[in-house]
Amino acid sequence: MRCHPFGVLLQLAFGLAALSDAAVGFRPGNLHAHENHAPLPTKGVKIIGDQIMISTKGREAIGLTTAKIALADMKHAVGVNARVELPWRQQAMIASLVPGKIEQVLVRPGETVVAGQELARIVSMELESLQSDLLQATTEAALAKRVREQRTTLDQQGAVAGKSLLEAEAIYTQKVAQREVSRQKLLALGFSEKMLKQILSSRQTVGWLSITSPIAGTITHADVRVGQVVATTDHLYHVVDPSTVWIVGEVLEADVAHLRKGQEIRATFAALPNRAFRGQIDHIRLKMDQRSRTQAVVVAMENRDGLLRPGMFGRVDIEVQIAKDAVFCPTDALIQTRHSVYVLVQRGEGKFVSQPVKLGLRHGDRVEILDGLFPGDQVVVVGNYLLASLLGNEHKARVKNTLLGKPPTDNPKNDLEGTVIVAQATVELPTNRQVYATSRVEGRVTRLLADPSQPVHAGQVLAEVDSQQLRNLQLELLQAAAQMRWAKQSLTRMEGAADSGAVPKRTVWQLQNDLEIFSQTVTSLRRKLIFLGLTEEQLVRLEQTDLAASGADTAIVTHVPVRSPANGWLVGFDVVPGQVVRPENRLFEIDDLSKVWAKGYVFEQDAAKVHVGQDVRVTFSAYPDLVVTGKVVRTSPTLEPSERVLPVWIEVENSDLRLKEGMLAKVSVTTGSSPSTLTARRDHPDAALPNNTKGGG
Amino acid sequence: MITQLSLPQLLVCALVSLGLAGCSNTEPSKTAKSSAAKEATAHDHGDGSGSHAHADDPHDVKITEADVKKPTDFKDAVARVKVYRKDVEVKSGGEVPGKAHRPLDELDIVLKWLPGIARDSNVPKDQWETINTTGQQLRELFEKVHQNIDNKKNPDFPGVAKAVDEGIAKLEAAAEAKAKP
Repeated sequence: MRCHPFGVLLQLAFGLAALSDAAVGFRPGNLHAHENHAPLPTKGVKIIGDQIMISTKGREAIGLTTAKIALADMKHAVGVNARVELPWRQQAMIASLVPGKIEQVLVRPGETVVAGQELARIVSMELESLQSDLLQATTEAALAKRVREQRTTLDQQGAVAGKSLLEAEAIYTQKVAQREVSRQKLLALGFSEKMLKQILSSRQTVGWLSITSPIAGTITHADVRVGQVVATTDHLYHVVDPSTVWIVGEVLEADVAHLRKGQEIRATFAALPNRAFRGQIDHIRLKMDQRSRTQAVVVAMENRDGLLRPGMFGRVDIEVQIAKDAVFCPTDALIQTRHSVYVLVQRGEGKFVSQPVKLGLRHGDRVEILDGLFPGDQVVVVGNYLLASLLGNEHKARVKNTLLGKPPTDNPKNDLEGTVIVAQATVELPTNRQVYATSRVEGRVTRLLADPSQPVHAGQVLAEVDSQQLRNLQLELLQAAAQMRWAKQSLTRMEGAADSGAVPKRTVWQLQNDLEIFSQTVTSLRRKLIFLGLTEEQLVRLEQTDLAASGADTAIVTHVPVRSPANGWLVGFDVVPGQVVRPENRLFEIDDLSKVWAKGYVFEQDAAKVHVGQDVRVTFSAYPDLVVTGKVVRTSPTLEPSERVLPVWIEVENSDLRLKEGMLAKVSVTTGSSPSTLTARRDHPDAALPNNTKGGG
Repeated sequence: MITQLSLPQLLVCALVSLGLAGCSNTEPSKTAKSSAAKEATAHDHGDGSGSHAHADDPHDVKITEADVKKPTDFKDAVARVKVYRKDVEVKSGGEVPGKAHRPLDELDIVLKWLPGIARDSNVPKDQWETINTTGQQLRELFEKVHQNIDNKKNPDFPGVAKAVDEGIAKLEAAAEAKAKP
C-alpha cells in the first residue's frame, strides 16, 4: 500500500465519508440481495457487503488502477553449475590385437582421423607365427588331400587295407581343421580374405599389423612410441568425436523434486560469454553425489562447430516448472490476510468486489491463479490496499480460507503416539538390490547397447566384448567336434570289420578311446563357452559346422555378451568402446530402486529406546510433501564409534523412483508402539493410510 | 455491514463529510431488519430515492446460490441463459413486471458461475476471456432491467435485447469451439 501525507488525509476523509454513507442490509453467506443494483455514489465510497462502490472523483483521487487478467505461459527456472562431458558413444579407446613392438607411428595427438584410418603399425612374433602356421597347415592339408585321394583309389581297387584309407582321412581332417583355425585367427586380427590369398599365393608373410581407428574424431591421447613393446591390454590411443557433447548440470537436492526428463534448459559458459545454448534434459542420473548433495541432469548438445570442449565449466538454467496457458495476475493485486489471499475485481463502472483466489506458480511480479479469477477480469493493482482497509475486520472473517489443505503442523506426533526420537537419515540401497555386470573374459568392448538411467531386465545384453580367448576356444571346439565326428564314423566302420576279423580288436579299442577323449574335450569346451556367455543354440550350430565348408566362420561367435544379472535400472557405467576390460572390472551397476532403505542415525543416549518393529515416520529434504510411515526393520548391533550414533533401517516403497541413494531424510521413531506390520506412503500430511499394506522387514 | 452511530457521532460525521466529501444527497440509512424469506429489507440505492423497501412487491424474494440448480455443463448453462432471457422478456413485458425478479436473480447467479462452469467443462482456454467478459456484460445489461423494475419504471427489455442476444450468440459460439491442436 502506497502512503503519502495527503493520502492519509484522503483516507481519513473517505473513511468518514463511508461511515456517513453507511450501507445497510448485510446478509451473510451466498445471499443474493439487491445491493448490486445501487448506482455509484456521486462522491466518496460506499461499502455494501463485500462490494465497494467508489465515485469517479474518488477513483481519480487515489489513482486507482486496474490490470487485466490474461492467459500466459509461466516458467520457473533453477540455476545450477554445469560442465561439459563427452558421451560414451563419441569416443573410443584403441589397443593392439596382438602383442609386439611398435614399428611406425602415423598420427599424433591433436590430429583428426577418419574411421578405419591407420594410426600405427606393430610387428609381432605372434603374427609371424600365425601366418607361418597358415602356410604350413595349407601345405600339409594339400598333401593330405592328395594322399587321401590316392588311398581312396587304391582302396577301391583293393590294393590297400581299409585302415590305411581311414588313417589318410583322419590326417586330412586334422590338417584341414588346422588350416581353418589358422585362417580364422588371422581373420580375427583384421586380415582380409584378399590378404590371406595374397599370403598363400606369394608364400610371403606380412611383416606388420595395422592399428586403426574405429571412429572418426580427434586423437586426444597417444601412449605409443616407435620401438615400444605393447600388450593387447594397453590403451594406445584415445579418439574423441566432440560433434555431440553432454552438458551435465548438478542440481541441488532441494530442487530435485522439480526435475523431469525433457525440461528445457539454457546453458552459458565462462569461456563463451556471448553464447547461450538451448536444449532439453536427456536423462537424469540415478545417484546423488553425496559430497556435493547434488543430482546430475544430462543434456545432449549438438557441437558441430566445436565450441563446447569437454571439461568446460558453466551454468545451466533449467525450466523446472511451467504453467501452460496459466491464468496469471500481477502480484500487486494480491491482498494477503492471515489465512487467505484475495483481490478486488471490477464488476461494473466504479464497483469492486473482493474475490478470494487460490495461488499457483509465482514468478517475478506475476502469479498463477488456480481459482477465483478468469481472463478478462480487471483487478485493482493501485489503490487496492486503501480500498481493502475500508472493508474492515468483518470482511476478513468472511473471506474463505483458500489455502490448499490445512496448514502443516510442526508436531511430528500427528499420527503416532508415544515418545518420538528424531534422527537424521540418508537413503540407502539394500545390498540385495544392487548388482554388477562384468565381462567373463578379458577382451575389448566393441559395442555398448544400453544407456545410463535406462531400465534393464535380467539377461539383457548391455555390451559385447571381443575376445581372442573366445575365438580360440570355439576353434578348438570346431576342431574337436570334427575329430569326434571322424572318430565316430571310423568306429562304426571298424566295429563291423572287427566282428568279421578283418581288423584287430585293438584298433577298435583305440578308436573307442579316441572317441571318448574327443567327447570329453568337446564337453569341457562346451562348458567353458557356456560360462563365457554362448547360448546352447549357438553351441549346437557351432558343433554342426564343417570347418572345411565355406561360410564356416559365420558360425563363430565373435563377441562375448555382457548381460544384466537382474532387473533394475542402469545407474551408470564408466566404459567406452574399444576399452580393454577384465573379468574383475565392474562394467555396469544395476540397481533395483523399487524399494530403498532410510538409514537413520540415532544418538547414543536414545539408542536403547529404539527396537525393531517400532513405528517410524520418514520425511525427505528433496520432497517436503512426501511422508512415509513404516517400521524399524533392522538395527545395528554396534554404535558407529566416530559419531557415537546407532544406525537403524526403515524399508521404504519407491515405485516411482523419486528417492535416490544418498538423499537426506529425517526419521521420527515412536517408542513403545505395538508390533503390527505396516508400511505406507503419503504425498500429503492428511492422506489416509492404506489398509493391509505389508511393511518393511 | 450495518453501521450504527450515536447522535453526537452522526453530527460530527455529517459536519466533517460536508466539509470534505460533500453532500451525497442521501438520508441516513435505517437499520436493516434480519432477513426472513419473504420480509422486505429497507435499503438505499443512493440514487436520491431515499431509504425504501420493496415490501409491496411479493415477487421480490431473496434467494441464495443454493436455491439455483447448477447447470451440468457449459452447454447446459448457455441453454439455461436463453431460457431465462425469454422468461425475463415475457415477464418484464407483462402486466406485473415484478414477476421477472426471480428469473433475473437466478440468471445473475448462473452468469456468475459461467466462467467456472466453462473451465470445468473443458471449454478451450482461448474462449475463457470471451465467456467471462460476455457473462459480465450480460449481467450488467440485465441489471439495468432489474433496476428499472425496482424503481417502478418501464423495464425496457427491448432496449437491451439486441445486446443481450449478441452476447448469448457469443456464448453459444464458445460452447461449440474446439480446442486448438
